[in-house]
Amino acid sequence: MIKLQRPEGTRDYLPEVAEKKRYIEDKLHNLFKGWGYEEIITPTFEFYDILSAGTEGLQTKMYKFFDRKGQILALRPEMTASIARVAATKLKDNPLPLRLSYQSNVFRYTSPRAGQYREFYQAGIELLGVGSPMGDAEVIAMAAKAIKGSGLKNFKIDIGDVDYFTGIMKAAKLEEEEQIAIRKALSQRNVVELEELLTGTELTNKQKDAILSAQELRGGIEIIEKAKGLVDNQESLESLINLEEVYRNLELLGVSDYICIDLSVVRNFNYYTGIVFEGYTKDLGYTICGGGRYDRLVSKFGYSIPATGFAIGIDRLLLSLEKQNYNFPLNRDRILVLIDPAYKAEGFAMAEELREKGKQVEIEIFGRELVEVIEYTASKGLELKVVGEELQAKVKTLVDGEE
Amino acid sequence: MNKLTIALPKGRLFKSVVPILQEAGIVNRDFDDDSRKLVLTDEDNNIDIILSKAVDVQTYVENGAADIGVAGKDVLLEAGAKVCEVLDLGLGYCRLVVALPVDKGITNLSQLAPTGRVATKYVNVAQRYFDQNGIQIEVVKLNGSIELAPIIGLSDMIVDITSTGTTLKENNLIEIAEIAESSARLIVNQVSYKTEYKRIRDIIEKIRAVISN
Repeated sequence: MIKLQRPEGTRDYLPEVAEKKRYIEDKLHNLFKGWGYEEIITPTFEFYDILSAGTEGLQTKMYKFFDRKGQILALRPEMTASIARVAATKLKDNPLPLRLSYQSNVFRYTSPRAGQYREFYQAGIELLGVGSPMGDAEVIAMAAKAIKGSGLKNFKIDIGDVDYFTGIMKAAKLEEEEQIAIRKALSQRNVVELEELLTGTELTNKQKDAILSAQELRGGIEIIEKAKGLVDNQESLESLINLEEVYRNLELLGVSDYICIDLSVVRNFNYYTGIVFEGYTKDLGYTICGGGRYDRLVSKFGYSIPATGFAIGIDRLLLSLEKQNYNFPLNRDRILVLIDPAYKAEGFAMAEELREKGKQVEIEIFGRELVEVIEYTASKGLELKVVGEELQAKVKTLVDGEE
Repeated sequence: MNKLTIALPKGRLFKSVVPILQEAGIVNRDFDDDSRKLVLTDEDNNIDIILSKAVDVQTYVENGAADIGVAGKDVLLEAGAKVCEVLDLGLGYCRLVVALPVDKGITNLSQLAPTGRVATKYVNVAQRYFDQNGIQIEVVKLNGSIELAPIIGLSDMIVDITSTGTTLKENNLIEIAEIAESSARLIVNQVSYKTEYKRIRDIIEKIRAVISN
């Protein structure tokens, strides 16, 4: 007997779920297109070196394998590295900015749990070539519009800026190792460890306070003024001015209701270089989308351009919508056409006509008793249309008889 | 106001954590971990307390099934849970150590053979620690009485928690390295921390005030 299970961490999207997934993906696709983002499709597997240059510390979570020449390949754990590679090669001579979008499956060898699979789906955009706050604002606004457009309620997007912390640590001339440890504690939101680490450093009390207080700086635009009072180095101040400008633009783009400024958001430090953000809803214990500025990545592939983008986890978005009991506006006009063999031409023509009107039309070709046909339509929620007068009469008698 | 769920570990820590929550005014009523009920409600404060095994608290919190939890640092290190660790409660202090039989005459890590067998409950912690120190080990997972393993020849050494060192001594084991210090931590779900920010910050500050007294 063949083993019938799926590998751990994979899932089947049965028709009911697949339909919802497609609905969300279509919505997102149209949004991305509407903002001028063109879809791009890259290989599912690539050279390991390319993928590991770009990832947010996902090297250990990649599925790796060899091809027959002995080269190391891997399944993509996210899309940004692949898109950066394309931008730095095939699209290098295209005019900037590049606006690219994708909808892809990605693979990570993590322990499976609710909302976390080893193969999962992401939709996202990358804006390459724009380093200004307006670029960050556009991308964040689209993240908000994408989540809103999918039908989700009660969500927020938190934005922060990693340069705020980088500035403080540089100003204090911390050792590289200390910086890495502090960044890690910030990324993991481990306040206990952060406090311990800071105690052991050369940071002034004011600098320590600027790092620790940021864990509690959360809210609207007023947060930025407060933070400005905490730091005196140029880089941190500039990051705050930058953040302020991004926020002002988000107000003008009409999405600031969904935005919260939270300086403790840093995501992964080694990857991001400026504004970072993450979206979430109280109905799910995990973030739904995340992104930010990654100005150093594309230059690793020999093309020095700034970049920013985000990815939405489609599975998590689906899960959140289901938790909110979202009523998907799905097309439910489904019909079964039962054709008397003598009237095949008429029957097929009618089915075609209905399809053109956007109905979902099945033709009865199973060769079963009328009673069974009627049962089938009832169980699948199909409307029955009969072609041929004699057959119509028979069906009518049967249906009437039942009533 | 939404209901907040706090996950507490049954057993040793429970009895010291509940008074802190009471003194901080976060819960009013008495709780008992002997109760067969696993969800205890405090209507006045709109809080549910769930009782779980100590090693499971971070799972509830990471998944958002609980907003707040109390877990030992040793457990958090082992699980590698993605939760916000917001406060050291200073309770249940212990240390994660490497220990082996006294009669082997080894007193520090550098004297160890390049390969060895380690018995432990903390499989991930042990593996990571020895990897970092360039020692190749084979891990034997045990769920209790770890000290027994080297005595009867199941392993060369152990990785386990110790507070006073008495159990190690009684079994003729000597500590040769400390991996980490551990104590109970207040942990918060990453999303709850955002969505219930004010309330959770308030809880953290109240608890901080109580434990610093």
